Amino acid sequence: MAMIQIKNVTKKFGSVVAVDNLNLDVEVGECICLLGPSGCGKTTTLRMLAGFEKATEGEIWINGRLMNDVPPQQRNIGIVFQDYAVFPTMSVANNVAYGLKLRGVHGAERERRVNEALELVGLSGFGQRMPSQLSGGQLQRVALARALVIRPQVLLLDEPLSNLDAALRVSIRKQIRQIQQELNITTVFVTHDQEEAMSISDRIAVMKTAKLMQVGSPMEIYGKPKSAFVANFIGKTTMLKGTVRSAAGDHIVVRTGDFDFTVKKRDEVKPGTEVWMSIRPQDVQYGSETGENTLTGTVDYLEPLGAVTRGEIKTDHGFSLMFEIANPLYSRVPNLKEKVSMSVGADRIVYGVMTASDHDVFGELEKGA
Amino acid sequence: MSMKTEVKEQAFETPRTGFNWLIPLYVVGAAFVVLFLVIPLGKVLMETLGLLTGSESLPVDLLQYMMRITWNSVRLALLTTFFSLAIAIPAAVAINKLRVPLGKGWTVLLTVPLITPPFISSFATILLLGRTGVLTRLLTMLGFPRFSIYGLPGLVITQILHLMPYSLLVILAGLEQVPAHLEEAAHSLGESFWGTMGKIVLPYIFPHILMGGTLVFLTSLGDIGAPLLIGGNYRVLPVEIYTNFVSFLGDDRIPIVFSAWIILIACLMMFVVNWLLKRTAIKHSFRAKAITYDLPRVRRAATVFLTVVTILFLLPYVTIVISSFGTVWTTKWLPNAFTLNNYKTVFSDSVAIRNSLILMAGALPFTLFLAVMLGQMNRDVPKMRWFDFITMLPFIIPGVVIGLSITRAWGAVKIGGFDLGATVGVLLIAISIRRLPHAVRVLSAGFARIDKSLEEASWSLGASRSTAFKDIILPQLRPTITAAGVILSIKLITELGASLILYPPGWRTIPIYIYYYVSEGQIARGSAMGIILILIVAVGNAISNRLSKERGGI
Repeated sequence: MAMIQIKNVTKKFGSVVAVDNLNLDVEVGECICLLGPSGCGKTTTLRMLAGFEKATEGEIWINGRLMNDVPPQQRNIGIVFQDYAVFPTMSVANNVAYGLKLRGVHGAERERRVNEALELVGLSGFGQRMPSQLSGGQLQRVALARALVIRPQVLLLDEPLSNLDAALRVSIRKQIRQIQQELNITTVFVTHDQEEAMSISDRIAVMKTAKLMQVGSPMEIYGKPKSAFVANFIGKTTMLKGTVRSAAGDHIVVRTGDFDFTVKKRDEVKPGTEVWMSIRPQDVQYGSETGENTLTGTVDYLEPLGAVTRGEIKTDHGFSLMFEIANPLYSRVPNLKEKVSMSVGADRIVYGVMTASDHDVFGELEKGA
Repeated sequence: MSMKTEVKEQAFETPRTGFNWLIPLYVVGAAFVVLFLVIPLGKVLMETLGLLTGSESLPVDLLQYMMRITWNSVRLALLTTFFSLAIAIPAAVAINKLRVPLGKGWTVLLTVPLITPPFISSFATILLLGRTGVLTRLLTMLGFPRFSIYGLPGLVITQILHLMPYSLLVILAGLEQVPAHLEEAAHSLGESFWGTMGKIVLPYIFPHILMGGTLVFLTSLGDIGAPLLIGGNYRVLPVEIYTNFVSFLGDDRIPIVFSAWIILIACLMMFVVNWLLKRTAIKHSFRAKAITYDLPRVRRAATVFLTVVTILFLLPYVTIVISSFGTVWTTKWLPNAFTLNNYKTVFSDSVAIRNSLILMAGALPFTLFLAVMLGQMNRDVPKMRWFDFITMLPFIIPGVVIGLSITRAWGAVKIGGFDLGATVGVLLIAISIRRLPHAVRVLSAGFARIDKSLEEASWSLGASRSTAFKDIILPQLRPTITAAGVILSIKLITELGASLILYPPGWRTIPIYIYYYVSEGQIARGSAMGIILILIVAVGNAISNRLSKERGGI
């Protein structure tokens, strides 16, 4: 049985729908990420799990118990907030001990568990410090120790890394993931950062405007996005609109601008259907004059990023394609405005039938451009 | 690893949840406000309704009279507000933006009036600008025409002397929040200092200017001390209520009807101000250090301005000190002789000091407790938010009206043979209710600084609402409670309006004594009593500062 079951949950604030008919199961020991742009309902979902908000409709089950009317005090859930919420008037040890005190854990046992928790997050010896003497990363780990020490059934993390600087973010997320796997604790992690989500979770639940768009393992979400939104939100990609010209055999042909893309067939589509396509920059074979989907164009933009150089090619067919050159120190990188040719493997192109929501995504892309 | 979740094997440890004792405390706090504020104000409104619709309806000339007096009150308040802002805005800009010598020291000097009772400046005004006042003679020697300060001009001057510092503090607080980037952006676009002030800074702090002005306006509207002492024939609403209440010859309908009228005006003003504040609110999305300007010429001018203003504002207090040690002070630059007799006389009436201290000692902890409970209720029970509005009402309703409405509601009630209206308990309750908003306002800033997620974190760890309050909120609130206590003690000990209406025999407080001394022409004794009051406040301040430092406030 799943540790967390979210069944048909809707949350409304007045007339605003924050979460719309959400269904999601989280297995024991699993780390799942709720990923989406701000306002998508991910934090509201987390707060309903914690008991700070009540679901307007639907049911929330944790470890086989219906939680809708259970107050946060009795849920036995550990939560870590974006702003840490470390109690400023208590020492580090007292912060961690607080939940144990409330549970009547006394004396040596309490001390042992506090020390154990501090050790787990790498803060042994920090017990007597006051929060004002700690850095952001340390505060975040105090919050984590405080949440874990009560042996919660579920750990909730609400954008726990977004107040930290980039380097610290990476090291702490690794630490969180290791602790999570070591304790085998069921974890729900909220973030708007797709890289963070991919790095830390067993599964990702992508949300957009109160709705769940797709659930799956990080590589599934990345490799087999089911909507233009997910394709565009996870990783870098070029999004194109096109019309299916033929769909016979193993391949379909999609017309974009004045170019016909040959695409390996995954789902059945009828000729005449409008589809979206996603082409990852690393799948654009720059400099290749043979192979499937060979195009020509001019280099429009270059962005050296160290490990790769990313750029954009304005094709001669009325659209642009992002491309990437791995290991640019030892590869030839084209010049700006250089005429180049490129090809895209038919099996590398992901497509889907356009829905209203996909149209919105293109609308926003065009606005942004 | 022992921390591994063993969900299947064992049930988790459950936190012990106890009784939420916050709820009975909320009920006590709310009940107190209902009993001694809502019911009394409601009673006055109902009685007025009765008078308006009764068989003997109110004569038109009484209502016309009320309009005339209202206009007097409003005109006084508008003039005071206008001139207070005209001084406070440039003074605040000078202190905050121009690197004047003394820096924040000016703020300390200019806010001395805040720790003194409002009516003290009124007899300082008499000493300085009365018919034989020091400044009057100076001005006539310089060829200025003679004028009388009794009436509107004296009232405006007195009230500015006392109320300008309120707006100064609010505007200074606003200037602290103007992000340096805004002004730097204006400079980079080529805007001058004056242009930046006029087009960027002042519009940015408009909500503060509005708030400062409102504070002055409302306090002026409710002031009774100055109008009683030097108002002469210029009558304002609180004075009409008071004199008709105490006089046997007065029209006993006037206190009721005028009070109801003031209550209505106050409610209306509160709505309008709330609306204006909402409309003009600027979201402070980023924080940055305030910027200052190195403009030597402007700085020199600003320093001169601040010096003149500060001398004018402190002169009354110098005058009071001199007067308190003087004998008769009429036609000379200084009193005829110096003596300690005023203090001796005042100390022989030491009952006033005792009364004021007892009342403060009783009302201070009680009012603080109420304010904390109501503040927590406002945070904890969203459905009760509207109650905050009611709690703030005494802030804008004059003390006389609060006092009067409490006597109307509870004056005739007997409890166990005691006439409730004639006990000191009612006086204590009245000054607590009257000064409650001051504590609530200070505390609400403290409550707002405590992040909601701290509370939520403690809930998820198993703390009940009352435990979270005790363990998480209260420790963080402590410095704010100390600050609220300081302000509250000043406000309690200088209360005049409600006390005048409600004090039982033998319970005259220091402000009442000062009022009677001065109205009997015993200005030197009034001065001595005033100095004692200022000293009590200063000592109390020093003690609480010491206490909060020892605790190592956070």
